[in-house]
Amino acid sequence: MILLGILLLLPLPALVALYYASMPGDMFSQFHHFNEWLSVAGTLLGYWGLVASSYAALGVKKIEDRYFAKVRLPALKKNIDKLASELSTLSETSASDAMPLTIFSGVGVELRALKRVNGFGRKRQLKKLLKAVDDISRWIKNNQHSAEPLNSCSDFWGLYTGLNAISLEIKAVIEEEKAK
Amino acid sequence: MSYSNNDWVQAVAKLVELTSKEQIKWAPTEDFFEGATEKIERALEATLNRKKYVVKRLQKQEWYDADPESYHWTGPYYALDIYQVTPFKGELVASAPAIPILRDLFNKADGMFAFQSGVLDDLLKPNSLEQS
Repeated sequence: MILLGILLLLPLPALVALYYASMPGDMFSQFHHFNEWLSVAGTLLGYWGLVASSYAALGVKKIEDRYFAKVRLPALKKNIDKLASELSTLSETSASDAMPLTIFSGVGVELRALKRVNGFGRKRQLKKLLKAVDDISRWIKNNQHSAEPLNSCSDFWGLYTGLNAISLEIKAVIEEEKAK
Repeated sequence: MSYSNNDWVQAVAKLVELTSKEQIKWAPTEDFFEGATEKIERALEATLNRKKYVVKRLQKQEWYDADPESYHWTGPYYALDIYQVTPFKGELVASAPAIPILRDLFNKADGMFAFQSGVLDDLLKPNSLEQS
């Protein structure tokens, strides 16, 4: 809103300058015909129209993001809850057994889908979780011939905690949307 | 200041981690707090640094009519209570808010207790029953 005000008032100093330039005795004395002032007014109106329509386009984008988030978030929350719960049951699986598991790619898919929901935000948090997913996959690959359980991989617990925290935040956002 | 739900998630996730690494051991308990409209199905306790954690699975009474007999049990719900252990008596300090991660903690604690007490060992060992 402040930005809109600034953009609308921006041409006023130029107008004042033009007015003083049109005073008699000045070197820019060509500015005293009615038609020329009309052209200045036209330019000004055109500028204001551009600013106002950009502002409206921005508002449409915001509404679109909100609507998308409203439709998308409940399903994503359900999937993330299910994956987090599944993750906790897998914590004693050894790295060699975890190699063929598809859950980590599943978590990655859900997190990337959540990242595309602009109305949700929290991109940095999601980026950290995606990095944890990659690190776990790498850890499993490096330890694929050992019997070391997944719970000794520190990123595993970071991911588990992060997924549960994100689920809480999605819940809060969904409730806020309902209240609006 | 008070603990946010996010803090509770971090704390309960830590409990799940400690359980998974077998750094704390859970055992069934009869010593739990039961609300007037609750029925505790199963409760497990673990002690860590003079704090006792009780995780329980419960059902809640819910009335569908004004009549006092018109209720049914809903659930299962999961809850976590934390007690401060003093020489005389445990004092209930805090109860976790209803967050879905409590179900993971309960299932993990229950599963680890079953594994540690070896309930399936007789059945999984080959030929152990035929010898007797």
